Amino acid sequence: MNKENLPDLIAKVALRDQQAFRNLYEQTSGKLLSIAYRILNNRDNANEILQEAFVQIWYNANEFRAAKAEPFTWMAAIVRYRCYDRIRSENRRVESKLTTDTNEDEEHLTTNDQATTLLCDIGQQLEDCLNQLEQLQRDSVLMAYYHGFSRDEIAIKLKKPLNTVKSWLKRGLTRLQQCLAQ
Amino acid sequence: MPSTIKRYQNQALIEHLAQQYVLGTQPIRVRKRISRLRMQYTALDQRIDYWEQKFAPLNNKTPEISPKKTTLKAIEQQLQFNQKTKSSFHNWFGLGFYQATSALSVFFLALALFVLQPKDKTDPLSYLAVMNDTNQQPQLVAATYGNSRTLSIELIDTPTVPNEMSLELWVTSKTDKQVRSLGVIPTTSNIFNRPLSEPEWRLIKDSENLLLTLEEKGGSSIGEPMGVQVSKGPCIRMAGWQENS
Repeated sequence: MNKENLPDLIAKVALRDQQAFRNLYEQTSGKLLSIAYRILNNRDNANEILQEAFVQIWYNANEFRAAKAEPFTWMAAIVRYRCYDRIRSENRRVESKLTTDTNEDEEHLTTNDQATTLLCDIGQQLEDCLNQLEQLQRDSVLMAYYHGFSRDEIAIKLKKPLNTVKSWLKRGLTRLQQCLAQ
Repeated sequence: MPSTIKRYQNQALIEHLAQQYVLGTQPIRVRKRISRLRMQYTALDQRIDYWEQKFAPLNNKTPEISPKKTTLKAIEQQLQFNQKTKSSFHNWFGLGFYQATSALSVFFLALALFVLQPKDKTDPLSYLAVMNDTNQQPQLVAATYGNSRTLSIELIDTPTVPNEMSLELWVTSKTDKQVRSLGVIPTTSNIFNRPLSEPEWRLIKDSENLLLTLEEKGGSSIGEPMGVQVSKGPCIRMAGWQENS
């Protein structure tokens, strides 16, 4: 993905340039589909979200402001929020995926001593700040953001009361904010 | 309301709402409300942008997955990039026919299509719905063709659609009575064709009726109708359905 030309492509899409839209799709759809898939755990549903997201991108491209957000961050947010809404409304997940793939991913997310961990790749500041959180705070934050788990689902999965999870999220994000602001 | 304005000037509340919004932990109704509020309160919008940006590295390093080859095609069809006019409804029936025969429109249309056959005899009409508006006037004809698995839509009486909204087509399942989306219907032309995916085809096979609603631009984000119902109609299974299903 060539991030440098994304603002230009989105600007052209805002002008209803179909070829620019296709180029934008070619460059970003793989990553956006991956984001949808990691939340939904279902390839058909992820493709549906990808379709819906690109329709929204076509219609809303004129609302993108380069000064406010990176292009891919803006597009990823569209995908993520549609995924969150989808799983909240359907209130269902593929349980087998939830208990297998997710466990594996969480190991990647939370194990610090593996050379191939995700945290090693996500940018030094965010990695450092996440690593400063208590493990359960970090797990809760990442389970919510990365996999789209609701607070109830996190509570069930970690076998903790809902209020405890809420507290972890609140404290974790507060500490993350303080760390990121340094 | 002054109390509301004051509430959303509270820095701690803004921070909490922005964090939970980006984290995705809010219920749908709260999310919808925050989506609206961020357009009114700059501070809230800025904090949401802040957290989006801070978490962005998690997305940037996500490995790529190749989308289905049909996904881009379906998007282009939905956006009418390459519009084709396969439907011959428009040639067969005039506007007056529908307006004059609203009560019998389903019967006559189904009968006429059954007798006349589509242009391509290898692609038989398999399924048909004539959808009536709230005044019981025919507004939209939806049909599927078995071999090509094409959805063909003709807007007879295009409803007024505000700029910030879209028309979305839904299927009600016979089996579980759940309503599921068939996507946004363009209103730039009164005829619209697009291929159906396998899941969509299964929805059609199990359909009881179709529903058209006004939703936010690009379609309802929660996968179920949220907006005003524009029109509705029962589905009729046509000859040729079973051998093509």
